[in-house]
Amino acid sequence: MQATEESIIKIQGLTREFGKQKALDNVDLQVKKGQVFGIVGENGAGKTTLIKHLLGLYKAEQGKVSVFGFDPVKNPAEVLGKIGYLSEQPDLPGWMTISQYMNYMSAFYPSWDKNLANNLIHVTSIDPDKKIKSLSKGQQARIGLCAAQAHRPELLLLDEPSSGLDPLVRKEILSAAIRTVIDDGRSVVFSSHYLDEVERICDHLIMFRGGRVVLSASMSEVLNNHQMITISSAELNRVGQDKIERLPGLIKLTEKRKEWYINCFSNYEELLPAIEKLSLDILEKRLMTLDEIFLSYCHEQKTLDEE
Amino acid sequence: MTAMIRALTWEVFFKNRVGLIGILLIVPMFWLFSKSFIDEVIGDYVPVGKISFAIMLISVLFLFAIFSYVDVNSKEKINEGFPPHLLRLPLPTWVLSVVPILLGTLAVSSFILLWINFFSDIKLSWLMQLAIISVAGSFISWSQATNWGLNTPTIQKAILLISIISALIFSVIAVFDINQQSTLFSKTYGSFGLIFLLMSGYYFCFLTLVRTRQNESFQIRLSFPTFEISRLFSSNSRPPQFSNGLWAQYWYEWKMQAFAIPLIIGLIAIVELGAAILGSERKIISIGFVTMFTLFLMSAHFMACNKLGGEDFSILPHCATRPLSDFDLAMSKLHPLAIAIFVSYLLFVSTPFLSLYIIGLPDTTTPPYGNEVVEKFGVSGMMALFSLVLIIFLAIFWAVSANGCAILLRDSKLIFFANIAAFIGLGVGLLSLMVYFKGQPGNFETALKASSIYQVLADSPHLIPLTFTGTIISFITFLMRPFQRVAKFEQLKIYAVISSVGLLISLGLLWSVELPIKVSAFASYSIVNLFLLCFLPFLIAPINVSKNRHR
Amino acid sequence: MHLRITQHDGVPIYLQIINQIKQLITSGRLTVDHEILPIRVLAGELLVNPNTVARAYRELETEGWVYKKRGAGTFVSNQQNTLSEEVCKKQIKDRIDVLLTEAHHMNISTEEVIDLILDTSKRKRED
Repeated sequence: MQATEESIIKIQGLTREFGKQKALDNVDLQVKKGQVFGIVGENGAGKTTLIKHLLGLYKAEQGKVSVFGFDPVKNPAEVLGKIGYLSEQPDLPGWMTISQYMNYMSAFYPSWDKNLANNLIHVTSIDPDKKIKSLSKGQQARIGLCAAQAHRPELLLLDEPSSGLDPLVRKEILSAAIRTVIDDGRSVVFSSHYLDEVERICDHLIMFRGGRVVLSASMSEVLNNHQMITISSAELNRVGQDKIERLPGLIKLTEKRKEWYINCFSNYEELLPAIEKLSLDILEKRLMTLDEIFLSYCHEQKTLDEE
Repeated sequence: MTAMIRALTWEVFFKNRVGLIGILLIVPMFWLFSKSFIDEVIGDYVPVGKISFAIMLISVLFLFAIFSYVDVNSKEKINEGFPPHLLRLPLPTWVLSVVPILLGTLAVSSFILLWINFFSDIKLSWLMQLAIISVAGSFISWSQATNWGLNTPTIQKAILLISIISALIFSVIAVFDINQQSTLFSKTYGSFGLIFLLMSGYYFCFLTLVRTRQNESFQIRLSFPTFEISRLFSSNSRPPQFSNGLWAQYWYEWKMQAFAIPLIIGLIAIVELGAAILGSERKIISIGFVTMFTLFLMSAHFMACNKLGGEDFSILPHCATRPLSDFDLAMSKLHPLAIAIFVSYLLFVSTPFLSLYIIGLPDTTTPPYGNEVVEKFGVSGMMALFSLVLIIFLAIFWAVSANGCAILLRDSKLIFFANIAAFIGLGVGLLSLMVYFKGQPGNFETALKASSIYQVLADSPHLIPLTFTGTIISFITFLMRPFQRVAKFEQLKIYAVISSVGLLISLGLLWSVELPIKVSAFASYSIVNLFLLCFLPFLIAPINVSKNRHR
Repeated sequence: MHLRITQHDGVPIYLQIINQIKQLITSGRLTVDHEILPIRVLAGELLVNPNTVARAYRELETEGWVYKKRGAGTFVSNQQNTLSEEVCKKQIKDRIDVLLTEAHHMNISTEEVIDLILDTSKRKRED
């Protein structure tokens, strides 16, 4: 279960523009074997675009994409044969019945395990003779998940799979991800809006903003090294805002009701001496929750003026 | 309430404004092909009436599609039946069901009547024109009703529609009183039949909407045990097994799109045979012929789009993420198309003969112009030429459909319109050539023989076909490099073998008949070009699929 | 062995696992030499990353609550023998730290806290 040093996904300098807008801007990332790799970001930040590059649905305009050592555009069969993919929108062929669909999918993957497939379908308690178009979105997602897992893929690729689904289905998705990574050598790439899910199952986190990678670290680093320090307005004025802005790993500096909140991403060894050098009088110091971490990297939010 | 009806009407037209404008633009084309203009100029050499009819047919089909008032949730690509947002309007159900049907009927029948009265030389009484209106109305209301009644199994919908269409055709034949012998199908019975179909169609629509509004699905309950019959058609009990992904994808494309082509042509064939049994004229048979031919041209569109009858040529994400190479994905489109075309072709070829045989025309055992050919070349020569013609026609159908499909698979608006422009340009060029020759003194044949082009051709018959062959070969060479990036040449071997075999057989048949050398040479070059064209889709399709799949 | 993870109060998941297992052991629901769920199984049940569970088990092993048998799994250890005194004292010291901080915020002096501790202890002995 420990991630080995071998990379299954290597992306270098990937850039992609749609018209004038940069959907991806010089993205570098590596996913190692056995990782559960989480991708978060606001809507339109580039998550789905990145995943489409992994599947070969987009060709790299600039930069390189390598999955299992292959270019997904040049060798779609080799790459896609090892990936189990669940997309955000249900795109299963509606006219097929569930059993027809499972049969159809089984033909593409030599490693398809028929018993596992039957078990997974059985667990969903949906009648296999029902047509897919008669299923709800959640049920379609469950079927898609069964098909994605049944061939024990080396990479389970989930693109915002939980969006708009009930807790039962979301649980099944997480279960599938854990089941994958428990099997040695298999990995998961998981993009989601549900930060609690990301926190539970991912061991590495990457965050996109405006097509750029603003954070890429292991989950324990993310959770242990994001500090929020509160100081008073008076203290800020005494020390000087420019000095505060030079604190190591500063992400965001906000003011609310005469108190200043400093969000930093750095470890103790760097931050503590810097604070002591300024002899900063701290009102409160604590670790940020993943929600707060996410928000601090996002664009400036305007608040509703209710006065 | 009038405001809401107006809003409803506006929505129907606004949703399809592009299609409607396109249809309207066809009217000038009718004028071009009408008796008053081109017919006088080239009417002897070009079947103006048939072309005009074909154009009218295609336009009517498009109009049916436009006024098929079904909401497709394009985001989720799920067919939702009657637009749900309209169900919530505070309008009585009978109004909701009547407005789209009325609009559709008005549009389609006025279009057809416009064509009949102003652009063709068919004369119809007011009763027959009324009959046309009610036929359009019945068809629209019944097809709408089957679309809105969502949860009926497709096979039941299909059976229902087929029965309705057959009933419509019989009623029409009766009203038009083509077969003056039979008293069973007299004008009165025919008219009653049409009125009944029209009203029951509307009532069915109304019922469907009532149930939908009450959130139930409208099911057609057949009184005899349905489950046994449906077992015949349903393959749910034993889903097919596949040995590898490529075959699975073939099955997918076949069930998704390709099956429709022989199915539709088969349906037309059945109607044709029915008409022949009823003892109707050759005119109906030739109408069927033209219809089938039109459908062959449309089969390229059918296969290339990702949903039956849609306009979206982008590869569905579900298909694009299959672990298949671009070449295999392209073949998964072309292979089912080949089977569909072959089956349709068999139906296409056999139907006129069966119909003519049933009608009881003399000499149905020999093909058209059979006697003159037998005189010149002997019976074996005639058989050879006839087989050659059959092969050539199949090759032409394949070349047109497959190349069209391969080009459309690029999903590039630019290429699509360039294609249409080239097609139209070719047609215009051909027509102008004919006009040019008509204008020459003497008749067409002498004018042709006197022209410079013919002189060049007669002196060096190799020049033009060689140029054409050279163009195709250089085109193929140009495509080689991008092709090798997406596929290996070995994968093409089998198709190269099939094309070569077809070519050799055709050439063999050609040279077995004693034709003048120059004619044989010219024909040989043309056949070679044709088979090169047949081979071309296997190059174009993978390249275009690659561009489509990896954007 | 039934554990529950909550993500609402900011306590790290691995810590929740550690605390709950400790509670199960001290309350006697997990007896000595009883095998606790393998890492994979617990990860699948709780829907957390196996590394998180592995980290919790490692810390429990370091503190002496459990021991690993090669190839056979992880088992509850006999606390009295293997739990080191320093580790126990450290835990108590951490709790005292939290208690004193809270008291300081509420303006309760350290002496008052000691009085409260002695009071409570007396009441416990009387029950």
